[in-house]
Amino acid sequence: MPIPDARRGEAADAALAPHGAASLAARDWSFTPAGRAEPVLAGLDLTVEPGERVLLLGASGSGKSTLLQAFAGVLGGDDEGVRSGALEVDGVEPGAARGRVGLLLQDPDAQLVLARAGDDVAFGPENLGVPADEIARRVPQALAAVGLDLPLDADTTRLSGGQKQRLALAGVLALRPGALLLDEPTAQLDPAGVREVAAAVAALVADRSMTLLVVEHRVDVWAPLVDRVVVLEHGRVVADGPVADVLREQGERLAARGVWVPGRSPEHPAPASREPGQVLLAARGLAVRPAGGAVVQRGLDLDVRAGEVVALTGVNGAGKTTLALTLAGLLDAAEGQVTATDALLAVPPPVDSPAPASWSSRALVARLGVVFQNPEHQFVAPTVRAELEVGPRALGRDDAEARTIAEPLLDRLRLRHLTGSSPFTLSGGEQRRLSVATALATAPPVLVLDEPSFGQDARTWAELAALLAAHRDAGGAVVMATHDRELIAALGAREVVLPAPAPAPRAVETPRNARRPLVERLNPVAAIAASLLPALLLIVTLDVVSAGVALALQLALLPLLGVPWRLLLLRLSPVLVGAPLTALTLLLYGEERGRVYAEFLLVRISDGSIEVALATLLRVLAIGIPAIALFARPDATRLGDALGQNLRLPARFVLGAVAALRLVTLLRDDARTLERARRARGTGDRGRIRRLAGLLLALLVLSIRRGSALAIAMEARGFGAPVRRTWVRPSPWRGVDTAAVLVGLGISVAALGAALLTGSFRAVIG
Amino acid sequence: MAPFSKGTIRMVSTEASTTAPTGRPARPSLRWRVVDIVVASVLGVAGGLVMTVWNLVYSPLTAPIEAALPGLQALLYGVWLFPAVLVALVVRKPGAALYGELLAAATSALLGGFWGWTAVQWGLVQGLGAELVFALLLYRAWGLVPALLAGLGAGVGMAVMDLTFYYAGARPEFAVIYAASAMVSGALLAGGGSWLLVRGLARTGALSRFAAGREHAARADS
Repeated sequence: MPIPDARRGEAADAALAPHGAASLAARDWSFTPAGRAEPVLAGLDLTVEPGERVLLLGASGSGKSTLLQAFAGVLGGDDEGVRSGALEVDGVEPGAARGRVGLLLQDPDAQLVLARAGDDVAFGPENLGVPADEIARRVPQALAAVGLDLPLDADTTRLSGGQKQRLALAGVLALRPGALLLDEPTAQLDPAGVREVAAAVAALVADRSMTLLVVEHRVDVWAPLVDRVVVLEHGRVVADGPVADVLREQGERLAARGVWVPGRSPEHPAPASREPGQVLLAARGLAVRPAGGAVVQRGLDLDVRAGEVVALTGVNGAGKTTLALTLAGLLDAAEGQVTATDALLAVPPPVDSPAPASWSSRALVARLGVVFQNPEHQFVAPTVRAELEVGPRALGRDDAEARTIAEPLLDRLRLRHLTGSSPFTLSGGEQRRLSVATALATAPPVLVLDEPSFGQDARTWAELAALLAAHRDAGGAVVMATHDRELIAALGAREVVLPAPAPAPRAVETPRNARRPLVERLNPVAAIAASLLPALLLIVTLDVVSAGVALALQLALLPLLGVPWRLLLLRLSPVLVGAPLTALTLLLYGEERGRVYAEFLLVRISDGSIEVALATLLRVLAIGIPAIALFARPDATRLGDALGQNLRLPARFVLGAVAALRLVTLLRDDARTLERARRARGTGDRGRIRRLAGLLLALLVLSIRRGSALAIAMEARGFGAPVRRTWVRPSPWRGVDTAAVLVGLGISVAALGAALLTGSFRAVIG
Repeated sequence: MAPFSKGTIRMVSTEASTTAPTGRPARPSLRWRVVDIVVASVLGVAGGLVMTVWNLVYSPLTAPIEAALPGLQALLYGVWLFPAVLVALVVRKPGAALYGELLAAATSALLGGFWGWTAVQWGLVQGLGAELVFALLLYRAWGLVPALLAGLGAGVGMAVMDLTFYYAGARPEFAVIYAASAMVSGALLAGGGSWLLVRGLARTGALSRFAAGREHAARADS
């Protein structure tokens, strides 16, 4: 559905950007990224007229993404590369046309910034300083335009891939761009998600109110939507014209470079050479559930035979991946069992039980090779060669043997030129080949793959199909969770369709109290001040009276905050344990005064140390309890708003931190997957410390990569623009906030006063 | 509280940047790019997660050391200091050490950390300790020695905070052992550890948008 025209021409944003579709032009434009010798784009000439719809094709590394980022003005400064020639949006350089160009990237998780859907859509216009009431109008319009019917406070982490991508698109639309640049927007989506996003884009560009430039290697999805196809090769335009003409003239060449050209299917492997043989793996009465989740399927019976390919299919959420991982021994069965037959059990090293989930990591890697959806999850070594040798080494092969296994794989999977590179630096297709190669390195009878063909170009797809067929024909079994109909057909797979799961019971909405507890109403800045003030004043004295008075007053006031006592106790438990421990240290090593009760080595328990220990106990509690209680219900978005608006901290840093907090919440799932992948790779039996170190590095790499992608998405949405930003969520400072700060101050003054009056004041310094 | 000017952050070096023959500026800009902010934030928050886990396990781990020689337990406390050095070594901008440590502390507080928001005070002082070292080096040196020194600086910050808040009434012997242990730990665990971590990260290509990562790539090529 096109956005109604009424939304245009409002006075509020007339000053920000001229309306209508934008023109894009590159003239003899070149770009060489810092640290590279060769330009990514070399002398490029391209003009896209306002309202035109263009599909940009080319092999990976041909400079397509760089061009989109250049038009979006997010290529970075001179630090990051050398450029020459002219690049213009509406006749001016892209940096001056902020907001005129919207950029949508591949990874849905690396584009959403804030925790709630409405906030996230508002993020772009906020950065560009659009007035708050105007943003409030734009947000629901943008959500409607992409067909998302979500409450504005919907949790963005719970959306499906297609929903997330449409939400990101809504965030781009809220900028009211004149051009929409899409960089493989559907590469990481399942077929349903692809349809959702393509339909949303089709509706948006139907009236030509926006120019469209899309990079995708799935031509069939986008060809009906565009007027023109441009083909890039080595940073230059090599073909440019109407869709039908370009595909006719360049189709073969494009297909050879991995582009999915309609009517030119990649080569399919020959059908299976023989009938499936004996059963290797059997599931009976199996119920599966993801780690930490509820059962998604039950009562499954399944045999996996030598020489056959089993495709697990079904809608999203049906549990395809969960079943595959359970069969691979990486998840425990919720009910029923998975058993390996004698044929599989006969493979060394020996195991005690027929259930793969009980095997050691070594035993697993010899029998079941696993390929994860995201190859980066399963890399554990610094180089491609070392990566191939990980499995064989886990099985106790020596250097020479491991090398003998790795060598032919390097050639067979066209990885020879990458031998010494870090697996993380490889392209998507290379990573996929490497991940399959690592699984094959231990020659396991069964291969289990999770969405192996997802987002792959046609060339990698064909290679993958050939590899799997070869494994099948060599008497191996393949189990794959997939949506890919063509792959199922190409491999003659036996399809096991998982029924759609029963819809999850809707979470019971907790009724919104008309009056929320004080702890949730306080401005976070007031809460920080109220908790830090006593701490700062208490530091001048160390005595029982001041700390005791402060603590008593705080405990008396604590119920006013309205924190449920159970939560409060949970939150306070560390400090309730830690304070006595600190006091114990002082009891033993505190300053010596008066009578000495005990003495050994450095320990002196004296009147002085007893007093100091007691004062410390009270003081640590008096400092800790308010600091924890006032933040028993933290909300990062509210905190960010308060730090930016009330405390006037630099908005870029505050929002960067809020975005990072959201990104890092994804790490818990990543950590689970990484642990599982390490078990599948044969390194799961290593010592705890070594495993933890490897896990931490992998998590950091994942977060930095997502962070770098998120930075591009945020910058394209105006983040960091030299404009005074709008804050749509007010962060009011009310009377109760002032009162809270005064109470904090009052407690400190009363405590110090009491100490001075009773003569127990003991200055810490001096 | 932070050495950032309000609103937009401009810290362009005042020296005219001489242009090398390749067309690349000889000296990297000290201005924060968006990717610097976001990746520094991600690393800071990740550091906060590590702190949160460490908060739960440090006391049983360090108790035996403390029993051997009181004050020596601070030898392991450098774990609380690594975000300062790590973030600075990756993004190489003024304020990075302070921002990284402060954000890590704030994250551990948000996640229900041991000390609630008082952790932020520690983050501030520890971050300043590391920041000061990089500032004295004019934000030009990012090698192993500067990393060790910055870690030591953060250790000084931690010792000052701990000895005034928690161990105010402790005897001088304890204070001296504690402070020395904190500094050694800061230098080795936070400084040396972060330096190693950055090397490991650079090798994976994850830092390709940062000078720290590109230098590694250049070394690997030659």
